[in-house]
Amino acid sequence: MTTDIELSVSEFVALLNQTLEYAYPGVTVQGELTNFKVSKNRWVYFDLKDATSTVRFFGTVYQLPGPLEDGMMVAVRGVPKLHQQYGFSVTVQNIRPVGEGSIKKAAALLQAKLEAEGLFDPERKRALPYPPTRIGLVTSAESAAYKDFIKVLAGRWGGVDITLIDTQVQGEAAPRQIAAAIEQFNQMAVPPEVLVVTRGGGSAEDLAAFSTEQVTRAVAASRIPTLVAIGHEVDISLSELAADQRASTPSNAAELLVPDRRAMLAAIAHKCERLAVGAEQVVKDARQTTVRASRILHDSAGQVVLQAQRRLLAARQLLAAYDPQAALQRGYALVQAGGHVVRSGAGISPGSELDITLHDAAVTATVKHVTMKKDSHYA
Amino acid sequence: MPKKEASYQEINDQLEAVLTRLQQPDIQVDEAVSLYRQGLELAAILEKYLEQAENTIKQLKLQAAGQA
Repeated sequence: MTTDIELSVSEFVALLNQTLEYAYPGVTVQGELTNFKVSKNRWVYFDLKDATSTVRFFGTVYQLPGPLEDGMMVAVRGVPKLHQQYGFSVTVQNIRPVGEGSIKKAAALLQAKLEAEGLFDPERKRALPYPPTRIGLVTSAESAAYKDFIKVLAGRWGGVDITLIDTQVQGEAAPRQIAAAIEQFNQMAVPPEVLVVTRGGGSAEDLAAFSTEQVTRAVAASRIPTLVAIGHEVDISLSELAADQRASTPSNAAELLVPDRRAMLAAIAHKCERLAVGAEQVVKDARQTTVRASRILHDSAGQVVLQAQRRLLAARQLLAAYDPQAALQRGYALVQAGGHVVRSGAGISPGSELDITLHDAAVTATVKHVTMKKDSHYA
Repeated sequence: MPKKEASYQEINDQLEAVLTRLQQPDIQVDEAVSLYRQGLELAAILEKYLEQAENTIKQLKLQAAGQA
């Protein structure tokens, strides 16, 4: 037995909303987007339909994942509600494209929009520090991507401080979390030198977070240079296009970020060789200079000695010319009287005794006769 | 591992500078010998860094705005 209750229209609306709220606090409906309209750049109206049914939805542009258009398959989470004047609709909380085709279509629309804004411009790209000493990492701590990245990095290089902010990398919360993590790194007092946003491969739907407007804008707005590496085969996510650099996989990201220590060790060994060669060359050059200098020194010293010898010889010859012995040899004799050389006949008289030195004998003689020359100076 | 004062890159730059100076034509033996010794010391620091330095990993919590 049921009893009919008579209600006012407003009472009915309130009762129905209460019932809906109890039965469907939240519901996700999937269908084809149709009659999509944006009003005053703020309000969004559309219908979702399938082969037989159509349901109205209402929301704001802030809930859109990016530009949408009719014909796309989307999953919409929202709250069913009977409006007091406009009838039944679902108030949108979240919209996401589903199915590869729609995801691609949504991405293409968003890409065109962001490209027009200049988010992917090559001149925006900054160089990453090489190698960095502080890396900010945005990924899921449980993922293979995280383990691969850490492992490859450690295999190649050391001394890097890695800070991880663990986020979901797929699902509804992922875009918000990834964007918040990027922002969090940017607000640090000592921010990392490079931000790495990464996850492994997956279906287009798994990777959708990295092509959302929210994540793409967060990457583009990062003051810290970014490297985005999303493992995939064909398509590049929009956040990779907005990044300063992209890598194909988490491992590839680690390879791009740091050099391989083995290659560096070889390079250092090579530098040590260059050091040795350089230093040896300097010593060799210096030795040659020294040898040259000592040769010059030796040669000039020789010249000095030779000249001295020549001068000595000349002196000797000169001396020899004045040697009285030589004159005695030639037949001259030295005449002395009382220990003095006799230069003149003036002081000599017959009977005086003279000492005559010959080259081979000393003779004592007595003067018999003195004849002075007429023109003698001594006269 | 002792806390490093200069980064790997800075030390590597110093080594490059030593090599460049060593190859200047006006270099004297005293300086060359001192540069050679200095270069080897820098290379040893780099080698030690490469062989011993390990990465550190710290995990931060996602702040409120990003929580589900």
